[in-house]
Amino acid sequence: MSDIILELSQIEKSFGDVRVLNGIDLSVRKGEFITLLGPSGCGKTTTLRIIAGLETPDSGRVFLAGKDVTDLEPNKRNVNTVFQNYALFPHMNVESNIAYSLKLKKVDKQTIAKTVKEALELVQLSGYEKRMPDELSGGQRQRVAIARAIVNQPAVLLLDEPLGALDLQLRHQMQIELKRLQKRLGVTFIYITHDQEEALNMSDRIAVMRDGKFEQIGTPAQVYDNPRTSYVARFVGSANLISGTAYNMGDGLIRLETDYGLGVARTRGAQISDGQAITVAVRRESVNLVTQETPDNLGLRAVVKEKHYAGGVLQIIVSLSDGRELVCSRQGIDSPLKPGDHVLVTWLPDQGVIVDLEAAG
Amino acid sequence: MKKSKIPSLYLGLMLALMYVPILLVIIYSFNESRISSVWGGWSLRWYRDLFRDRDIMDAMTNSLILATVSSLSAAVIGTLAAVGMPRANLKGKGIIEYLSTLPIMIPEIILGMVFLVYFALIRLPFGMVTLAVAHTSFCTPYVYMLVKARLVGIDKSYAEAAKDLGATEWNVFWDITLPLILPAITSGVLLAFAMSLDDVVISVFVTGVNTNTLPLKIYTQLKTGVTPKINALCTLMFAATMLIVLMSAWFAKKSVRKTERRISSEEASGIRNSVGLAR
Repeated sequence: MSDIILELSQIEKSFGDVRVLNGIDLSVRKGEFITLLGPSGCGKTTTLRIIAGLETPDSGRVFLAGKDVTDLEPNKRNVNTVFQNYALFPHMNVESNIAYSLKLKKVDKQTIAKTVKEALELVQLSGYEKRMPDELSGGQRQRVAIARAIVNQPAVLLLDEPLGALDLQLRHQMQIELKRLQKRLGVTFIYITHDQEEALNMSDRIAVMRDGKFEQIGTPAQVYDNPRTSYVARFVGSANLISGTAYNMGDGLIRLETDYGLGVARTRGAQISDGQAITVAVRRESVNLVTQETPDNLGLRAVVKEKHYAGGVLQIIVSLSDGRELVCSRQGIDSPLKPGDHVLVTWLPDQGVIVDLEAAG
Repeated sequence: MKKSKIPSLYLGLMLALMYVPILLVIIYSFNESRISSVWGGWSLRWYRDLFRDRDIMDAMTNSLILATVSSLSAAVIGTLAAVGMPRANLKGKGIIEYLSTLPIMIPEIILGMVFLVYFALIRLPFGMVTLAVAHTSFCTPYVYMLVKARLVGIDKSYAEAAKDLGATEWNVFWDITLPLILPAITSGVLLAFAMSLDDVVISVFVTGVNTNTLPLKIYTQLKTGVTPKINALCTLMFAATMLIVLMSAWFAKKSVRKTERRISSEEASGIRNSVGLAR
């Protein structure tokens, strides 16, 4: 248990009548890169602010390195934050911004100068000491904000959508840099984003949040390949969700009977009874569209509706008989299918994941 | 399409209406002749006379001391109010906030009467002290309103970031808030200084028998007939006031520029105008 650096226990928080956090539990290991992923309004920023001490939870406790810090002021916690808008002090230059926490600690001038220099080297901004924040680009401000937050050597670094304001190219570059920086510093990162790709790229673990609760916590592979709920499947993998009735076929396989045809899925150890109503998640890139009858009668009957070709990815939207839409995506090559074509939607058994079992059972 | 001349004519007329009298006073302050309506050639004679007049110099000293004391007191009170009010957990906070800007709205003559009655009631001897109290009270709203407007524009994440980095409330005020609102405070102080420097109505009520401020001196001299010396004095005061008001506007602009886009510049200049035009 000693390598648990941060622990949240049953955190609840309301603003007025609005319940923002609904009993949050989270354990973060030392040196871990954990991402809180969710849409805006799901409570991820509030969670971060509670860890930072900028908000007090209505109930529940926050433990930092085993110590209860729930009632400690933010300036008494060994946690630093990179704010969403960076919050660089506009009247201080880069050097003073980074040195601020050290000055408060009354660190001697030489050490401060050395630490600031190292921090700027780390974020590749050497020579920018005397610049004012409004003379920096978005990406540079972001680096200064990170430098300012790490000079204090916090036990945990909190990052609130730090890449949200950057353009796409810079964002990709900063993702890699941030990840490298985290590895080098060995500091625990708690990272907030609503961008699932960002979360999958960077994190050791992802905590998918919804309505003030964690829906699923796991490694990117677990969350992506094995979503526990339809919400996670849709939010993280943009998966197609297909509902129907399950029948066991043996060998850990089930047959999914729907109004449009047959599908398959693996039980992955779950106990499914014959006739049980289930939902199966199939990711877009796992969906196959075929025009000929399949040997074992598998496949959902659908009609091609639209085709989009963007950035090397082909997306084909098909609609089922009741108007529901499924999306199939392909890398590169165009497809001879055109709107109005009748197709069968199929996927491999391994790529059908049964979700929402807990909710249903 | 030919542009109509009417707008420029109208503008010229309005400017003439406002500035010709001032211009005349300035020109006549350099008039050699003793009689105001006769032009006797250029001269600095009245300025020389002015600086030799002990009474006027004493009044000027009084005015400068008074303006300095009251504008600085207003700076402290107004700033503390603007910074503290949002944190105060009071019932009827809105009413208090409204009341605190009332001195700008109340007619000066009534304010003067009120001060007269009040100081008499608490038996405060009339003189510099009563003047300073009265001036501070009507100067404070200017600082309060300007600082309040600036504070609205300061992102609260600065304070949060500072606390996150280890700052106490006290550190936050000195290191973050104060430097960011300083242009607004300065602008408010300069405005208050100008207001105090040229106040007559309230001063008439609260001054003592032997205390004269510059505007009071000018006012009493009018009764004995206008000498060109008064023209010279008015010219100097006009120049000083203009300088201060321009500086105030410059600081206010600086303050607005620093303000985040959240508070639009029209809004900020609206506040500035309402402060500038109210008196």
